Amino acid sequence: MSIKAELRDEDVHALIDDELDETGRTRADAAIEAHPDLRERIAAYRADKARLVSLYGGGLNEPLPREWIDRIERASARRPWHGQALGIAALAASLVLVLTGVLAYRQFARPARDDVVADALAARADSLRPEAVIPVASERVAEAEAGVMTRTLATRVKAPDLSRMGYRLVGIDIYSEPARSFELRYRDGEGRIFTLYLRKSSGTPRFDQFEDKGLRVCIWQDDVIGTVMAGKMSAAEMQRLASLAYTGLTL
Amino acid sequence: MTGGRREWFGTALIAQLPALRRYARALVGNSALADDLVQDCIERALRQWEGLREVKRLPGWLRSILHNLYIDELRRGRSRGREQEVGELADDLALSTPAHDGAATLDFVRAMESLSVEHRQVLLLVGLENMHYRDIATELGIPIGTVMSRLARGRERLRSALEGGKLRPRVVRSLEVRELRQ
Repeated sequence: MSIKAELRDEDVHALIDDELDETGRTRADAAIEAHPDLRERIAAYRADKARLVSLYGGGLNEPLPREWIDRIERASARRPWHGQALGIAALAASLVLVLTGVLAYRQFARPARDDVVADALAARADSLRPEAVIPVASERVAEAEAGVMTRTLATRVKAPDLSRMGYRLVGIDIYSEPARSFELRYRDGEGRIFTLYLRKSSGTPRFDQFEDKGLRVCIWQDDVIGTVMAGKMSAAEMQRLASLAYTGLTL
Repeated sequence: MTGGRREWFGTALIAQLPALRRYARALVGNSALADDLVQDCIERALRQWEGLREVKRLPGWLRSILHNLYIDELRRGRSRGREQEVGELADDLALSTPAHDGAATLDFVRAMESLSVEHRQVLLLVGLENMHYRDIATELGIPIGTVMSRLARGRERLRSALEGGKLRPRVVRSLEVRELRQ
């Protein structure tokens, strides 16, 4: 029987990329056991894949051309509305209504504070007392908590899957003070902790990254949610994790 | 769209640029051309951002724009009737690796450049971007079986090119442009 008959080429590569289910893996292992040349072939493919990452995987820390940043910041800045007399008149008229609404809203909801970074780092350092500590031992717990976060933040969110970067969700802490917020704790194979602190945005979009005493911190906030991610890692690793976490946060 | 949404998009776009630039360099094999493509990609993204419905689609949406721009670039190269040399990145990478590894680096990069764009694209999405097959299928709008077969063929051709040893800097071929437009 040929190797191809036992294992399709596509399955060989799915094995390399960890895309096979349990049955597929068992079948692949049996085929490899029976055909040492297949083992060598797979080793060569794996080496090529690793080589690709080592050659092209750098460069995330290279400074970006300043003109790119300037162009984006110019284009995405709030547009001035001077000279729009009609708009100003309408704005003035609606301001009274808005203020009334804001005052009424503040009776019921605490506005998000701006020092989200300080609160996030305090939560990570266990300086804040969580209202609840939820160990995440199964997918079902994570899904249930996604519902709680979604209701609290008034936008659909879930705990992002960071497994492809080697991090597994191990717990969620819920805080009611100083603002209703969540801290998602992830751990990698070496025991390193990555935290993702999450709460309603103060309304000001932010993106920043810095290092403080060996701790890499990334703030990523849009006009709906604010996140602070922290962990002991390089800037490049944080860049990848933050990108994966932020995009995986929304459903 | 509100000013806040526009600001948010700008912030998210800037955050994606390092990864987009890295992907562009690996895809086209030429740092200068990659930067030109990223710059054009920024312009197009700023014009079309209101069409982006979900935050999580931003990286894939940017890669799609970049890919389309690259195809346009290839077509322009063909219409001008010239062969476009895109091997400079191999030299850049070889210079940044230990001397004893320089030749192997050159061979690998040139082997990558000998692949069709669609094969390189899938190899990079799996290897460099660490994406799942199903997510790649969604991003490219193709069945997952096609992702798997492109990946298998791409890796096989890469291996053949490396084992064959007769590698030279890649040139853009009109055949490749026809393949891309299918």
